[in-house]
Amino acid sequence: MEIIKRPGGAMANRPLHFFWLADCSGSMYGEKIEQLNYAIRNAIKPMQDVAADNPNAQVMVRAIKFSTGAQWHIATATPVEEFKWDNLTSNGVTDMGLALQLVAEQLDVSQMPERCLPPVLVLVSDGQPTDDFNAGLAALMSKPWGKKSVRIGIGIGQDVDLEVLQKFIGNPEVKPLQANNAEDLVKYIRWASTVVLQAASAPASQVKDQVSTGVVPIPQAPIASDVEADDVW
Amino acid sequence: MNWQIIGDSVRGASHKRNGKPNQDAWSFTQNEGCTVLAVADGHGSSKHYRSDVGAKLAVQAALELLNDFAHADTGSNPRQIKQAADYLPSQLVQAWRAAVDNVDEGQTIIPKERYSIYGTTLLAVLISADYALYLQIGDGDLLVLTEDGQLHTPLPKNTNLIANETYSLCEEKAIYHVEFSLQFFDHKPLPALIFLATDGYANSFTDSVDFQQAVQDFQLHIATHGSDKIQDCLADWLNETSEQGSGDDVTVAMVLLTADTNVANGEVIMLPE
Repeated sequence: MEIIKRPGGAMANRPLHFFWLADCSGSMYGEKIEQLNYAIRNAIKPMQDVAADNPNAQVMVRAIKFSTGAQWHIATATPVEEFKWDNLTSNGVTDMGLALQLVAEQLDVSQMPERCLPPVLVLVSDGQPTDDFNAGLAALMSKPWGKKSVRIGIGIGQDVDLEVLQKFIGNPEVKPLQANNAEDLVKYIRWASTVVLQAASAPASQVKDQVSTGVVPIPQAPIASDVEADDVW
Repeated sequence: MNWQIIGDSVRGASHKRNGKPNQDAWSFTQNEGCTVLAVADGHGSSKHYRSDVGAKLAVQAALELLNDFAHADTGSNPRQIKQAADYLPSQLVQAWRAAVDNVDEGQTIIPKERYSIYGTTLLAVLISADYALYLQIGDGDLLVLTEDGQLHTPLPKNTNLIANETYSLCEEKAIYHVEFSLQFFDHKPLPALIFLATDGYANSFTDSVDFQQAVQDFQLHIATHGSDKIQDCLADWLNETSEQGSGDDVTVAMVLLTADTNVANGEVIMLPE
């Protein structure tokens, strides 16, 4: 029987870019940064499992660290199956605006073609920006993929500026998560790495003029645990 | 001129995994006066939970509307045809809404919510003796390969639609997002193949070059192997495309300029006069 070649050129699943934006300022020193490292490392396997369940999405991971300035912690878009986590250390101030500018540079349609799935940005911080956060947010929202990104904000401890995280999320129906202890941080990081990733990796169409709350409906976040006051950051 | 139709639609690989139906639809009608082909992509999220029905209604509405348009008393005067075409966006939206009202049977009282439940895109082409009319609302691709081998997109590309956003027949201001264009056949070269596909198809290719190659390959394969053979292969190719590519429902349908008068094995809808 004659086999006819399928029409068209190369096919590929759709890239989904996942960005960690991690606060490495001096106030994260000690247990907070240690637990953040642990939580992200702990979420790698579940994240890989979720990605493997959807072969039509190719999840690529990158990470930015910000303190005094912002830098790439993982600069190369890394396939999730090869994703490893090197420990972050803490020192300096909280240049969150610069971190947003850095990620915004990667969200051009020239670098992230239209066929990509909406990128996921997870911002983790324990404080408030010391630089021009609004300029960073404006840079992010000026990019088509910045506007369409799925943005999750996780606050660590009592001193976090939740208003800033809410501005970053830009969706009144999605609230920042506040981790007041190690257990919650692990839970929230895992939720962002798995449940949110799953939602973003197979999104149904959204009608343009009806989208007021983001292009991907965000699933329900886990509830904060009931812990002893001594365990609270 | 004789026009032949090839097309098929498959349930997406991710829809199979998640137990969702195929929310795309396609169909065509052919008679002495015209050929009409339409493709639709229901939105699919929980908010649009009857979008598979909405897509079928959109296809049916487009076939009836464009068939009526071709047979209306506009003659072959381009100016009159253009004037009449200006009413198509509002006529289409009205026809689709009326069809939704009919099938919904009063289950959803608020019109905005009712139409949203059935939300869908639409791509359509009408070919008469004198012209081709292309029409689109929302995402998906409509390409024309002309006799001289050039590939054209007769409708403007919505550059502000990325990610999974789309315009829709269910929008309040849907008529402003219905794009259409007319090509009169006194301007050569003629279309040799008119290609319609839901976005699950283009999203499965690495880039637009690899996608556009598919349109050229279809024409070459049909010339080499015959349209019946390509029609037979199409569902397997589309399943492979969804599995290796986007995972979305995939629908591809095309109209071919042909010397013979055989019609492909497909659904021919006979519309009332």
